[in-house]
Amino acid sequence: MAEQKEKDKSRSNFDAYRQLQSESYWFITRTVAIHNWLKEAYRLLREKPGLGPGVTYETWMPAFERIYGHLFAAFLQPCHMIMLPLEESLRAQSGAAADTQNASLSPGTLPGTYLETLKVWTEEQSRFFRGMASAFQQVGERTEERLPGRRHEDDIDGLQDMMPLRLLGNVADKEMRFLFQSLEESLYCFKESQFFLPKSLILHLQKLVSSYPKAYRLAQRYEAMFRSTWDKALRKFAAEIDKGSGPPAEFKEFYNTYTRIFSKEFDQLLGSPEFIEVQNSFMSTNLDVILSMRKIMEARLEMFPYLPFVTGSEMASLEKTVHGHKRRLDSLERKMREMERRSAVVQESLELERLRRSVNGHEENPARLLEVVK
Amino acid sequence: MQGTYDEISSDILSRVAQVKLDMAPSKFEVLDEEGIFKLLHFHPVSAEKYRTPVLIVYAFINRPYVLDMHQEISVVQKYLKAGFDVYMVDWGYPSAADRFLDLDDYVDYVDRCVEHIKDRKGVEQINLHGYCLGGTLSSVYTALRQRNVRNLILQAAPINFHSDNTIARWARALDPDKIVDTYHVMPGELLNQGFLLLDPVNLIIGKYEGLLDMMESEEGIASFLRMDWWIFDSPSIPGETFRQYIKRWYQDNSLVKGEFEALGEKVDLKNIESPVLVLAAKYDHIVPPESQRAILDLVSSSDKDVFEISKGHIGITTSKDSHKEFWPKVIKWLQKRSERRAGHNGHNGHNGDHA
Repeated sequence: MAEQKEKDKSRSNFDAYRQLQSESYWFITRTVAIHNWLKEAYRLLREKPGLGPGVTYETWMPAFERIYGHLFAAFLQPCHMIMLPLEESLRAQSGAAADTQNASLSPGTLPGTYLETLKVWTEEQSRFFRGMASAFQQVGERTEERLPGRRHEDDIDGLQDMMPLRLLGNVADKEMRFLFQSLEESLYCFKESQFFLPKSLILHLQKLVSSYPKAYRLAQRYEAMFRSTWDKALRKFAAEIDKGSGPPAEFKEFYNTYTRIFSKEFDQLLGSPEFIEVQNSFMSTNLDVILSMRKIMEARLEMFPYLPFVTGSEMASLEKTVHGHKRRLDSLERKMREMERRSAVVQESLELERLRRSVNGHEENPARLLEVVK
Repeated sequence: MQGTYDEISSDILSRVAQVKLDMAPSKFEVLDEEGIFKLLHFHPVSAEKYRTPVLIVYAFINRPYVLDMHQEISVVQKYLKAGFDVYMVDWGYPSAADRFLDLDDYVDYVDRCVEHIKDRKGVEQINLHGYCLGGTLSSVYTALRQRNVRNLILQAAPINFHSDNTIARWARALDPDKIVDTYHVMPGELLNQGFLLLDPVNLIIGKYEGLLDMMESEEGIASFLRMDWWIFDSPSIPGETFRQYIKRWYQDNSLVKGEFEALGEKVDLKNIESPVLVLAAKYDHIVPPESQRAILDLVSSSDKDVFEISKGHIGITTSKDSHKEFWPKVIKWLQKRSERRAGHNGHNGHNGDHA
């Protein structure tokens, strides 16, 4: 019975996922979690009113920490993404450097030689793929046996957001491992190419290595801005609730005060020049990293000229040419239509003049007529 | 709503899964295609009363069916029922292969559509209705080809890009080159994240909390989901278009300064002489009303007006309230200024009631 119920639930989850845009699915499930954590904060307030703003703030902290996580997960994903692939090696590098000096995250703390960098990069990428495979595997296992005491809501902190893994978990478990394994193997093949490493590969690696720590730092700064504003808003919220004669009688009132205060604080943050500067720098450096990674992949393909790969740059050049030709073609078509239109007008005028002259008894003289029309 | 996370989310998701989302009720045919661009022609629902057809030009952000999302809130249906022949430009879903399309290509396609409609209908002029950036494109087009435009309606259309709202501040500080060089397009997902981040508390928590409040109403859920579907149905912007849009419009404010060029000509908004109607949304956080109204000081038209409504950038179209009085008023404005077909309302020739 319970099993059937669970199956039905999974089915409707999956149907809802198919019916919705993936963003809607993400935000609906997260808003339910946010709603429940807000209710939890409201319940705590009703149970123990008049604690004073400081204690209220402390009491609410765990609930609002969860709300923060759910609300900003989508926006802070780039921060997490930028850290994910190289985080481990960066930590290892900065850890090793910290043994000899007080190193901060800078290009200097990263591998000293290109070859070492290449080694780290390849190993790291393999590790990343292995990590992904194991993450999928874990979700699959989680599907089979949910740990006692684990909240369903906790699942959405992970890969659950990407798809209804309750259904796809098993597939992921079995299939994804092979996919990532084969990717890992192909990376190994790349390393064993008979050709020299292209210079562009080394240069882009250098670029990547120099922009990554910057992106890492900016990601931290960016997230810190959200955190401090959240904290400030929460303190204000606690103070405002404490000012009243008692806890709001209705949850709606509590909720409205919450949205008003938090919205105002974030409005100030998001429009501030400091935030805009950090956001732009972060985006820009993030793009440097992505672009370098893409160029590195492209440079790797150059090592295998006999493989039937078309690189992004080659495609770009082809598309530019096609677009140019299309434009030229459009303009010629337009000119032709205009000429046809004009020619039709001339023909009609000629015919008109011929008829007029014929009515007046004049002899037809096409050359003269053409002159008249002109 | 009461219950554990599991209970509430299962309840919501099962209700959501059962809702039928009937979208875009008006039937249409595709008259012309140019790469990803299309010209749509809506099937009439009543006798055609006006010789001057309506061409709707939507923005290159999001999809144009917001103007025809559901029977009750369809601007397209309003025009059709009033007796207009209605056309719409669909900018499609650009991919990296379309990265070289620029603003010139967009203005050029508006021109192609106008010529197509003129030939098809045997008329000299059309009515142009531009929404959001489609309004900006329509203004550019009208300034270049005034002879083809009888009336210009600009709905929530940015003209003065140097406004002080958050999105304008972000855009002025943005480096579009890096985005374009990396992604070749401005990805729709990234745009959406940007729009949501403008006010995350209200646009995420506030909005979806509203969904929890309306769980008992199937129609309420359906209309919420239709809207949400449209919001996240966001095509990417071709790289070159995005580059120009940010640099030439937001950063240089070139349209207002008379420095923008399209189709090989300088765009001078003073060339606009036809009647202009601005449909301004008072609570528009994307295009503030002052940015929308700016056109009125720049055109030469003597017949110009603003209809303002206390709605947001999208609510101006999708709110049921705005379809009660606001849109009928807009239709009336256009009817007065459009050429009637012979035999309708006793008028036989030009200018209809307006003359």
